[in-house]
Amino acid sequence: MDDHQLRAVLEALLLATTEPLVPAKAAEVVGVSAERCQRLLEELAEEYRQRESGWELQRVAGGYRLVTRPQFAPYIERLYRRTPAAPLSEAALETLAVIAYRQPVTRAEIEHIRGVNCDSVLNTLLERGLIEEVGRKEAPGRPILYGTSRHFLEHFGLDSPEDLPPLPDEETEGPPGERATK
Amino acid sequence: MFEGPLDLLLHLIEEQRLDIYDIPIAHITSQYLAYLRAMERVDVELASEFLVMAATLMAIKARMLLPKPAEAVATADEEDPRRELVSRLLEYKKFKKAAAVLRALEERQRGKFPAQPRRPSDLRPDLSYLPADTLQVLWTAFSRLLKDADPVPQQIMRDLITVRQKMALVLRTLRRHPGRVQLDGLIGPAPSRTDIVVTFLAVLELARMGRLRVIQDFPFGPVWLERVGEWHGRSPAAGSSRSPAASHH
Repeated sequence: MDDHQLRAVLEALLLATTEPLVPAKAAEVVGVSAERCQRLLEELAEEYRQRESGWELQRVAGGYRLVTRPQFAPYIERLYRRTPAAPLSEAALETLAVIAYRQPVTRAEIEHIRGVNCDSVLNTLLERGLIEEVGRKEAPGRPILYGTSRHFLEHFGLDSPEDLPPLPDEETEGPPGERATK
Repeated sequence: MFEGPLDLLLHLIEEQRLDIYDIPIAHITSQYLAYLRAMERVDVELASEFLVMAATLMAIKARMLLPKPAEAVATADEEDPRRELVSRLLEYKKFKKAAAVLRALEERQRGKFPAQPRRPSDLRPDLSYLPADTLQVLWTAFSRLLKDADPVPQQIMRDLITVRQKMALVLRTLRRHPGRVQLDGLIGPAPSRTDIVVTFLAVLELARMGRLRVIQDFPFGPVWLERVGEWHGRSPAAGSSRSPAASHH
């Protein structure tokens, strides 16, 4: 099969898949290398961008999926009646941020950073499937270690945890050591 | 409302444009306490962490008022009683900013609707590219159910229902409902821990034997059980060609 035909096959797979299409899986289906699939998927993404299509090819959680372009969201919302999803609370987002950037991390470590008890907010995040237990820390009491889930990546449109923007640091304040303290 | 004592302190510092590396501790402490008192007046129950922080602030204030030993004044690296508090505030501030970044990412993603093909019922998702998810799915579903169940009974009771009986019951339910049955539906409205555990074991055993299939259409969605084909009557080929999803490891 030439590239042109392969792109069409991949497009068909993208349309029919219920999960993000992983290049390795596509390669297995089509019988060509994963690298070639990945290249062709990127070409498709570029093609949709260039012709200003109504959808785009999004890289998420290690795979590719077709999503509508954000500027058409108002129309889609009119197509359906959207019940506004309960947005994540500030507490939930702060906790999620600590877990995302410090994973794997224990509850005590999260609570030390936030300065408040995080019991119920951790339960909420577990229930919403945004975080999961990833193991136990080799420390007294063998506390549970938390990390972000695959659903977290899909929810925030990230390909992998490394895809997160760098943690903002104290760049605006300057390093503490350089200021004289009285 | 503030997320906690660190949030409140940061707010006080930023509102007045104070230098976070040189916090006027007496000033901040009195403002902090004034806030706690105001909350008390409107009858808001504050988390105990707010009180712990109040004590910390007062301890720092006291240490700063103490006269310094002569030789300590001379050494530049004398420990500032505020140091630990400052580093915690800075660390917290980082994650507050990171939370705002996540909020923006979430907002951006909300405008992107994924294509949602409907999977024809005669097609089974290939679980080989969702490694280990089936077990994870069952585990998540059951731990959620377990959390709502009765606490462990103090008295050990004889099993009211055995796994074998439960397996038969599950199969009967599946036979009575053509198509899929939701996992949660197999468990009564107020299940005991034993109920849930026995059902879990029964479902796992049936899946292992290839009598039923465990299906989840999207991550964290409802878990469905589907009978595997041999009772479908005249289409043995369609039934036998499928292998049970949950036997995948």
